[in-house]
Amino acid sequence: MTWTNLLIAVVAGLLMIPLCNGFLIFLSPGNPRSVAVAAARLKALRSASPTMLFRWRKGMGLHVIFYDEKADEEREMPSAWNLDPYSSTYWVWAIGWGDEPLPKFAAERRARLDLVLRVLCCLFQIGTVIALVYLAFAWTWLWAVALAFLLVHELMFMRVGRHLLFARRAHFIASCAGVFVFLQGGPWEAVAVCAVGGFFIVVVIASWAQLRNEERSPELYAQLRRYGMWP
Amino acid sequence: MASDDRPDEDSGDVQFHNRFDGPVDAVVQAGTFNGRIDFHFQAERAPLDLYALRLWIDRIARDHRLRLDRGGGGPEGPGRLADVEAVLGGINDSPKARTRQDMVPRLIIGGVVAYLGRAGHAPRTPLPEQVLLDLIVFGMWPIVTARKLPEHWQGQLSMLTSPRLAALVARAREAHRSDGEAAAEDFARRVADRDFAPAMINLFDYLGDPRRGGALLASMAVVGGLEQPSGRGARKVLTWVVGIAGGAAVVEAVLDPDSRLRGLIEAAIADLPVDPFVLDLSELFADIMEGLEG
Repeated sequence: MTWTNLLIAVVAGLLMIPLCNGFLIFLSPGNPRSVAVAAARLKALRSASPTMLFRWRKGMGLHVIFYDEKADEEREMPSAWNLDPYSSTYWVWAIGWGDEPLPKFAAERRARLDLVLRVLCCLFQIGTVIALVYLAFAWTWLWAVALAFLLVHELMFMRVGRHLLFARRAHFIASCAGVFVFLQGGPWEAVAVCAVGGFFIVVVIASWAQLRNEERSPELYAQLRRYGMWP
Repeated sequence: MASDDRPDEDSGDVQFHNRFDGPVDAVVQAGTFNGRIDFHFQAERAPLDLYALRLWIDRIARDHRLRLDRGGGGPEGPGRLADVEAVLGGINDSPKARTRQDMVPRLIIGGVVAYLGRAGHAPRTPLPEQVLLDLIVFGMWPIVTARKLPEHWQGQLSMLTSPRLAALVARAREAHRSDGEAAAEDFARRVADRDFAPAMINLFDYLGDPRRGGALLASMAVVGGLEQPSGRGARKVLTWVVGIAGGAAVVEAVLDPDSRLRGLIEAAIADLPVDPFVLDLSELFADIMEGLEG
């Protein structure tokens, strides 16, 4: 029985992490900050010069080609939009570009679709919170741990605008251990959920603090990254 | 037919390839991409505004229809006529036409073919460099003069040519609307003032691709009484254009290796605002010769 539980714990624990990552990737574009950023992009595009062209460069992202009237020259520059490749709406920007640059209205169409998808994700996020509150009251209070994790994660996303990807060895070990303890049943279920939930909430808060520090002194962290001391 | 602002021949800013004393009598006064033009767009040489372009296309379509009625035009004749009639329908100044997204490329192709179809009216043989300048002016003038265009015309034009040329055309449109007398010559002078190499490469790329503008260009050319461009790609379209518009001068230059004209044309082609790595001069001559002999 123990060996069976161990096997289930390993398989379920290993599956749970990518599933949760996928869920967060799907959910995060619905964050109010993301929706506001998408709306600002659309607004910026609408007020841009109608002769502006856009091109997607592989590995480099979106580039803008425009005519600088003052200097009387054409320039190509990166768009300065941080399009998150771990966002569920990234494909809106990344696919469908040919070799030729496309005019502003094509980029505007993408920005509009991006905004619509983010609003849908926002509705989905609100629905998820409502569902978790309902489950916490109607089924078991353990769902409140998931709710707390989700709220902390989204709060972090709203403040720093960065997405967390749980892919470290410690995350997998904690997940597998949590499932194994949960499978023991009885009071261990609550212990497992609270411990694993608490661990991941701490991970999010710690990452949040690190990201804030990185924002404050980017040069230091760039240097640490160069020396392989920072991911 | 030199303009008043033509510089003194003895002054230092005379472009060497603007005139020659070769075996051909005509004096070539080429507009160059140095901000000065040495010719006038008048009468038969004037670029067609939208109204005149529509009349011209209507006329060549009627001629082609007659040719078809008499059993000519070949198996592709009806298809080509349909293409040209679609262009005619698409460039109407009607509200319905303005919603058509391909109105801008149709206007450009119409302007280009109208220029080449009327190249025989030129009082003298132009150099390739002037052909390119003319091509931009004639291709863009219907857009400058069109009363209404589709909503995203600037984006389309920018994509087909370059943001700089699209901005220039937009300004010319404004000037033309506020001052109806604004002439094509002013527009040509502004075009000549800048480097439009990326715009021309993009435009020739578009016209040389059968899946984009190439098919329509071929139909328009044949119905307009021109040779169909052979092959695909920007270079083929460039040689086709230069071959048609500068035919006699190019033949003479290529046939006589010692002529000064040959040197002048070589210099002009070398100065073409096209990436020299894209264009090999000897290949270009060979293509022009092949096209002319064909």
